[in-house]
Amino acid sequence: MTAIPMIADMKPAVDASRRSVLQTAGAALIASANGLPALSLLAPAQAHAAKPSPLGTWVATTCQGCTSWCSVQVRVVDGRAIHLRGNPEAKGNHGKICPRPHLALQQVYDPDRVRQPLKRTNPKKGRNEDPGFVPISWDEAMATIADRIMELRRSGEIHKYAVLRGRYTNLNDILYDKFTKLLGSPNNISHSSICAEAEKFGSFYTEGYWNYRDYDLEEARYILCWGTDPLASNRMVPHAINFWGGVRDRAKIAVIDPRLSATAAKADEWLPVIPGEDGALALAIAHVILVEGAWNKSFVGDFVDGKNRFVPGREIEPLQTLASAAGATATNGASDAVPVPIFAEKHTHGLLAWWNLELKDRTPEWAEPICGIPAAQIRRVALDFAAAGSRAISWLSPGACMQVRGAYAAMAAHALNGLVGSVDARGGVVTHAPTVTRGAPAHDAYLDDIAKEGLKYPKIDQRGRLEFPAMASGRPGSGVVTNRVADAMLANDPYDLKLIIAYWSNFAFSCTGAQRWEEALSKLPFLVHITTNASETTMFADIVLPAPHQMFERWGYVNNKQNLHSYTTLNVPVIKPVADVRNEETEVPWLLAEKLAERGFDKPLRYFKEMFKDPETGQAPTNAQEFTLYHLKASTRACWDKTDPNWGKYGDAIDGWEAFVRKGVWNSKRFTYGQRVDRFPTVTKKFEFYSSTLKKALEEHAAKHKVTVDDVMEATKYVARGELAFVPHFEPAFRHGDPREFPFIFFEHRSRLNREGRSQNCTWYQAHKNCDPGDENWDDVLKMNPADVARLGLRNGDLVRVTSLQGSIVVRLKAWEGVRPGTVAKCYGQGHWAYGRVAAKDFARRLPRGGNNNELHVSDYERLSGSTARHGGLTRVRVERV
Amino acid sequence: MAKKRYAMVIDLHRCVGCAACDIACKAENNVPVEFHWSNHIVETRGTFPNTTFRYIPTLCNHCENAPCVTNCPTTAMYKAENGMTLHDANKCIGCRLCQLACPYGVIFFNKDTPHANYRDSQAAIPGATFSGREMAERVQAPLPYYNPARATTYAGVRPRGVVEKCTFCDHKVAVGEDPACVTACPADARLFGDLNDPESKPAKALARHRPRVLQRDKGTQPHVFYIREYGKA
Amino acid sequence: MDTELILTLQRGLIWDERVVGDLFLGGVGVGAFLFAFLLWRFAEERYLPLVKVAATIAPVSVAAGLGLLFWKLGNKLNVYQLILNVSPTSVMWWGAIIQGAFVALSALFAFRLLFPHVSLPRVLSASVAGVLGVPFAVAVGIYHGLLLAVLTSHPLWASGPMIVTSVLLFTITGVAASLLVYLLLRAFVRLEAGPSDVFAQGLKPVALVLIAAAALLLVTLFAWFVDLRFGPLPARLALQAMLSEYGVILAVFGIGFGLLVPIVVGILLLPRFGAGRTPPAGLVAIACLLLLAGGFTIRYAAVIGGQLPTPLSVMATLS
Repeated sequence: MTAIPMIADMKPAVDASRRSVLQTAGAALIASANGLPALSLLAPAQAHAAKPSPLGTWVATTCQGCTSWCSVQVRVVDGRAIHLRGNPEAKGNHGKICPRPHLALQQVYDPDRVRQPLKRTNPKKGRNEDPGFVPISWDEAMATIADRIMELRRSGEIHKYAVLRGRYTNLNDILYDKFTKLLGSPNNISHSSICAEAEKFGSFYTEGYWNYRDYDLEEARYILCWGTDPLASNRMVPHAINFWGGVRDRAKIAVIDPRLSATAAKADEWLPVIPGEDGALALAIAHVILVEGAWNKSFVGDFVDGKNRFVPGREIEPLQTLASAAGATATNGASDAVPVPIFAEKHTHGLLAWWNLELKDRTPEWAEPICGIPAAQIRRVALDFAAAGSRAISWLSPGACMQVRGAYAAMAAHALNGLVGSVDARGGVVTHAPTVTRGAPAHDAYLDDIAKEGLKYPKIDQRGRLEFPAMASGRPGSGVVTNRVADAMLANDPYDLKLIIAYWSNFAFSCTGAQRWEEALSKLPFLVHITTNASETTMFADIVLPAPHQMFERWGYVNNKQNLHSYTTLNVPVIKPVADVRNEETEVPWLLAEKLAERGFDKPLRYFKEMFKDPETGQAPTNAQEFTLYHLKASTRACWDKTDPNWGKYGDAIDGWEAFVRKGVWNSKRFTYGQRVDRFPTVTKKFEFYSSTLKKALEEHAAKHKVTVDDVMEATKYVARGELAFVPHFEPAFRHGDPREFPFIFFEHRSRLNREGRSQNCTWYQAHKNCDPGDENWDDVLKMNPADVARLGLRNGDLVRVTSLQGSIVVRLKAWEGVRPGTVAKCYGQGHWAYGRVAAKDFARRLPRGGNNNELHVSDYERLSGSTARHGGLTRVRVERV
Repeated sequence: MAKKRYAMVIDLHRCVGCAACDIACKAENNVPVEFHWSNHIVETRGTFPNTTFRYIPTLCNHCENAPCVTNCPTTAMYKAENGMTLHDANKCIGCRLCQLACPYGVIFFNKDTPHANYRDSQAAIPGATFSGREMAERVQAPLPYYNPARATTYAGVRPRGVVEKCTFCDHKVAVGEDPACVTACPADARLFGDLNDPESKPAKALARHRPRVLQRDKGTQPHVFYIREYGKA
Repeated sequence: MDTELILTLQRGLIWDERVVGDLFLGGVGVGAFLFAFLLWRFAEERYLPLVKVAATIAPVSVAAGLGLLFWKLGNKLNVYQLILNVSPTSVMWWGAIIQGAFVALSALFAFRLLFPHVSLPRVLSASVAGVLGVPFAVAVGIYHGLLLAVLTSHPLWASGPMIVTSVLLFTITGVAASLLVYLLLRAFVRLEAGPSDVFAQGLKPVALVLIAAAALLLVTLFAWFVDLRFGPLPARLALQAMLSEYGVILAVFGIGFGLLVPIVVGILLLPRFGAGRTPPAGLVAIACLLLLAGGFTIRYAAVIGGQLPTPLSVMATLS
């Protein structure tokens, strides 16, 4: 207790000598030691005026509350952040923000934040063990971790060091990437695959784009949302919200979602699909489009004679003589006519193969009992969608594909864009305009022998094994299998881990089968957690390092796209940090590198000092803050430095670093349509309905394990065999739990107030939770159809125990007509048993507010992409009154 | 110059029900978390799968014929020249008659000193995390994100024993800005301005669309109008 | 399933039992004052002990009620703002002024009756205080009804019978309280020598008034019920809500024991109120007590029950 500094003693992270250096370097943008506002240069009124104006100053920074990553401005009064707005300079979110940035005020000033480094005094680890945290200095913390690293390097076990990254800025290439490699560990593990990798699978194996797409909302005439709830989540929230009124005026909107979502409430059609059966629906839509001759002939092509041969149930011979093409009866007699491809495909590949292998039988009537959507509605949606032609958007989200068998649903849903030719088209589904940032310089020269040895080990997450193809960007074994790490740790397979630095992540809460992480982390010898709050994962930590809040307290930058513009937006320390924090992605590795150098291992520090010079002055960094700033300036140099060859070429021409900081965002030029057509980075350069790209990847994976593609299908829980593996096809939903024992399909959704899993300790989150349709303030309700509630003899508001094969939670029951009978839904985000005194109902006693979905979800995977399956109703539950 | 008559038009067609207005209002006006100057009604109607959901943003209606003003025994609640219904915390005796008189439930009473969480001295993990009081003291404000501009026309934080309500952000309007809920609305669903000016955004919107108000039969003549529909009718 | 509506409102009662107490005691006070004044002015001198009791009850009771109301105020130190600011549209502001005046006048009236020998300026005579006090008493009585009746947001209150009820209630409870306190004092304190055993002689008109008022109140309550029951939807819903929550106590304590039993008792005892006869004091006291309890119950059900949350279907009406 005596080690806690008094408020008056608190010093910001920068000392006086560093400051002078930074100021002479012309970058006096960091907090000064005497408590002036962090951005004295940008807030002269506060720095100099005797009495600050109550209106304060607007300072630009970035919101990373969701993956939209909007450029925002913070109103700073008296050194305090008091209000948020969209950055009017930003073309992506065009000056708009969703509710999330406002919540961040309560995050940065959360009383439950970790105030300084802590160390664990109770060696026993477990949810109900008091870690006995005591405050320590940064110096002690860094020294302790450096000792551990040196120990691993000495014993040839440096591969047992791992970094678990959650959310990040693009400065993550230091701690996550370079530093890990320079130490000699292959284990930089990102969270990506618990997020949405299966979604990228859909666009990659059709059009070669391993990324999230952008959507031309302004020009679209039909929007088909696959579990997508753009008004609440999914990568362009304020933009979508702002445009939605206009979209409704111009376009028809259909939302496929087992829950009446925020967007479904503002759509023309709601298709409450049975969770996990999106694929059947997508295939039926494709079937209708073909049978009715409604596909886009100028993009896909047509039958050579213009006669539609897509007749339900009937296969089409791809090569036909013109005579037979004309419909003449086949005769035994040899014909002189040479068979020709009956379908002249233009910018796509394999339509007939797709039809013959799969689509011909996928009638709406076939789909109705599987997906729960009436055939008439399927037909109507399909034809309306196709009628919008190249201005029809099929908008895929994790809900429709982060499923055990979701990869092919992702492909099917995305393939609809191919059928109507909206790929890369005005009013359609587009990619991104280029950005000009670059990553950290090459590190190879700084790898020592120990590091090289360590890097030879396979990664801990078992990627690339037969059952985990994890084929990111078409390369088997290249994608992360985040959630597998817990199992790997528990099984010591391929080896055990000994030291983990986890930052901006909370896998003991955010991964399905969360209990496994508690077990794995209990067993781990040494965990360093860098976090703003004492979260679930923190409770297993040996060292806790307070993290800066990404929006207010640190430097960084991220790239993203919305509204047909890519952008680079800066994270700026707009206030003096509230706690004694260090930038986790750059300052922490620098400080560790200093300690390692003291212990005789100076490669990382030398790399940092020699390779990260200030682009303006050429000076080498002498401390962690300078290092951060120089790296940031160098990474974004083409945004602001006139001397850079890319400056002004792809977007905004901003004159100078200070102008860039003041503006806060670099906007790309508007996306140009149509440049990818016939140049898609697929095997055939075409938009592939029959995915030669997937075939190549699967065959490569099979060959690596000396098995067939069918064996791969089997190992990855897919039922398809043969050629079907290469086209979007029907796969029945996979669920854990016997329907008799667990009668309800459990599925989850996102909250428009979720700053991922981190905003639940904000009272504003709790006090407005009912803005998520069906939800209640200060609660975490399980939504069940009233008919089921009555059938079970339960009542609205009852406390119920929800049990799956994985675990059990107790939550309040909500009778709600927005979910289908036989299914129950709950929002993700609540159910924290740590994190703080609002998020948890009783922090001291580890009692959660509501329940964590991840303690119900059985941990399973969409294995082709390595994704964690968290949607599609993979878990069945039973619901009983407590 | 003609007398102003400030009003707000809420376009339900544009509103997406995100509650950004509610939260921004709390930040702007230092509103205790339990209170909702900016608020909403949500409605789920119908039977699966023919279910609809709608969201009606609500706030003080700044009624022409305001029962809270009529009934206030001390004139603490009053109509300003510009049509706003305002409250003077210095005159308020806390009788709560305005709350009873208001049919909209938009007036809130400070039973206790507000923002208790930033006066609390307990820490979640003593020695490791802050207490609320410590956090507020660290930034020297009654609550860390306290907005001092609010205090230019109203009590910055309303004390225990008095009521409080939406003021159309009169402190912002006074310096030529829109109310916080209007600025914060990502959907541009809220139009604020002077109805006596036919060129103002709300006046134009009301000329184009059929205006509706809440509980018209109460005869309060609200200055918050609703146009168009939230979802499928 | 029915439409589900959610609106987060401030929880809890706005006006609690203290306001019920204020209205109840205020009613008792003005009723007692009018009773005292009429007895003093028009009846024989032998009722003077009863008059004194009633006259004393008046200011004490109203002041006690105001005390409860003051206790209820959130910002007590600001109460002077009532005087600084003229708020003529506010029933409560008028109420504060009128009640203040009434307490002063009724206190003077009582003082002059209790201490007739203290010399005071002539203008402060009991007659002047009494005559001036009467319109204020009536105004206070009406005010108690009007205060609630003008709140159109509360259908249970915003009706004509609300005001009539209030007037009848102060008549009943004022007289009943005066008689009860007098009987209690006589029984336990023996406050004054005199023809106490004939307290009720000649009080037949009073008994008749009580019975009639109680009966009228029954009729008024019924009218109130009809008014709401066949009124617009919000009124129907408000009535339904109040009855489901407070219907039983209203029926049992407010109407059954509070009005019907005293009426029956009153009618049975009526002959014994005649000249030269004495009704059983205990029975009269019990009847008075029941009337008081009934009056309180009716106030309680009206004030508390009238604040049950407005159905959200009403609050969400857009037109």
